[in-house]
Amino acid sequence: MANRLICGTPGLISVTRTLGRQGVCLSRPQYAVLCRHVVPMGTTAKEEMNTFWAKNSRSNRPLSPHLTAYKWTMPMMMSVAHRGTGIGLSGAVSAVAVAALVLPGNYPYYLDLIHSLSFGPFLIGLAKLGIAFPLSYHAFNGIRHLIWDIGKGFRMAEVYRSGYAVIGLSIITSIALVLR
Amino acid sequence: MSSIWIENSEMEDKRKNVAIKLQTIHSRLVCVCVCVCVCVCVCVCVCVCVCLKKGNVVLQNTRSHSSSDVGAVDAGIVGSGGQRNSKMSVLGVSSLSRCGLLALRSPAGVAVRYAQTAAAPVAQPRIKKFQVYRWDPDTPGDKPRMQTYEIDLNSCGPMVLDALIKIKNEMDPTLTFRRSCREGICGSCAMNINGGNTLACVLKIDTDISKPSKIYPLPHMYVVKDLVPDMSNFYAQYKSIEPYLKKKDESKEGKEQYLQSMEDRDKLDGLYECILCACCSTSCPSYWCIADKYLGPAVLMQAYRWMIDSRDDFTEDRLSKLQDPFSVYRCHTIMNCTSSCPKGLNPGKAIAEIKKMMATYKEKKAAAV
Repeated sequence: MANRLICGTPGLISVTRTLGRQGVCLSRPQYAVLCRHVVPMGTTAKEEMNTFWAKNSRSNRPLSPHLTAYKWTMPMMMSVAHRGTGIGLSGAVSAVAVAALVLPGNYPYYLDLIHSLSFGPFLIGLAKLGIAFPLSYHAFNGIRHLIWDIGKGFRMAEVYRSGYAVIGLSIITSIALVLR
Repeated sequence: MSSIWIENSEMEDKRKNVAIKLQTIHSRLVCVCVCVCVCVCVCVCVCVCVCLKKGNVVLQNTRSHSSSDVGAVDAGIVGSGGQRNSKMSVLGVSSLSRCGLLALRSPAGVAVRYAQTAAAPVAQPRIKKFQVYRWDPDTPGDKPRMQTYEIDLNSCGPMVLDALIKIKNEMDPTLTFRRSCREGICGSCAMNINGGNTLACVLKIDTDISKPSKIYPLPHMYVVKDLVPDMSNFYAQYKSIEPYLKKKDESKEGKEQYLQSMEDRDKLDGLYECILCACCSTSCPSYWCIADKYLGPAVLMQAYRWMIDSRDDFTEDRLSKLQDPFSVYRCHTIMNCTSSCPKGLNPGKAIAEIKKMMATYKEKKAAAV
């Protein structure tokens, strides 16, 4: 951090600044009238942060409520859903990959197995929705994220509008995929 | 603030309102009558005085003229006396009438005054409940709890800070909170009200008295007492981005202004107005999780403010200082920050711009070299 003495004589600036940076407050009586002795800040930002964590973790101070107190808004919930669907989808892909490696038999064998179990169209539709909706939601919200990455659509009205568009599109797409 | 017209759709209140209207009309009529009477009296008195003056002049003339003729004088005097008497009688009548009017007026006046004060009825008290987070460090074993206070909104200012001050003044002096400017510029009274982070002095109390107002300190901060959070980490993070102008050549410092074009100055609009209230940073779930390593929207917006200041020479330096997985890149564009900013600023956008700059500055540097 730059600890500086603000003096009337410019010639002193470079000398005093270097000394100041080392945390020394130079006192020159003959320039006492002109010089303003800035009390050097003994702490750096890092030191202040460390003091904060040391003091507070040792104390019995509570943490103010966050998830329980904060209002759940639409953009917040959509962000959580994006994360949730992302984890779900990547988990499912990984599970399928591992299963393909581990389980005996190939894909057509398991397809015939599921067909033979006669689940009924409703349950099959539900299962399809369970895959289609996270996929379409994550894809459309991903596009929204990419638009944010180029710096567009950051006004709150635009955030809400794009959010509703994503939800609408993903519902339509997932239903279309299920009914196909 | 008392409101005569209470917003209530019940029939009784409507009838009351009609009665109030009638009363005001009645009182106004009475006032008009009284004023007319007063004016009439004043006019009569003025006329009487004028006539009396004229009478006196006549009297003087008759006296001076008929000084020898006593009888005539007597007659004259009698005559003028009679005249005067008549005038006096007129005066007497007028004064009597005035007294009568006064007598008439006083009960009417009282009635008028009563009607006037009765026209402003006692407003129904609008009691609003405030649930406030309380924790006392000096009471051993105290646990954070919610305490409910009831405030009559008719005798309270419109902002949440007014309610808190009223509670502290009249009901519970131990309630602790930060406040200073009461006009939304200092950032001291930032707290979580009804689920959103804002300044208490800027947020109007929700006048729906069926719902309580919930007041918490800023989320996920160490609580010093009641609504006061420990802000030292926030300030230390702000210090770490070096929020001041840095020039490569400091020899010209203080000699004259560093000039800047109007376009370059416009880039700072929407960034310099930040009051460092911490509403945005404490609304960010990423900042809740990693307050030690992630800088938070407020600090990042100020870092951007210094990066794009055309007078600052250390833009690349500032960008390179943020090159680690946590300082900037824990932002996942949740956009709680922009939503909560009480000054209407957009930290989310500022962080997106930083990310863009961080992606391209190395190429620019390489190209420049």
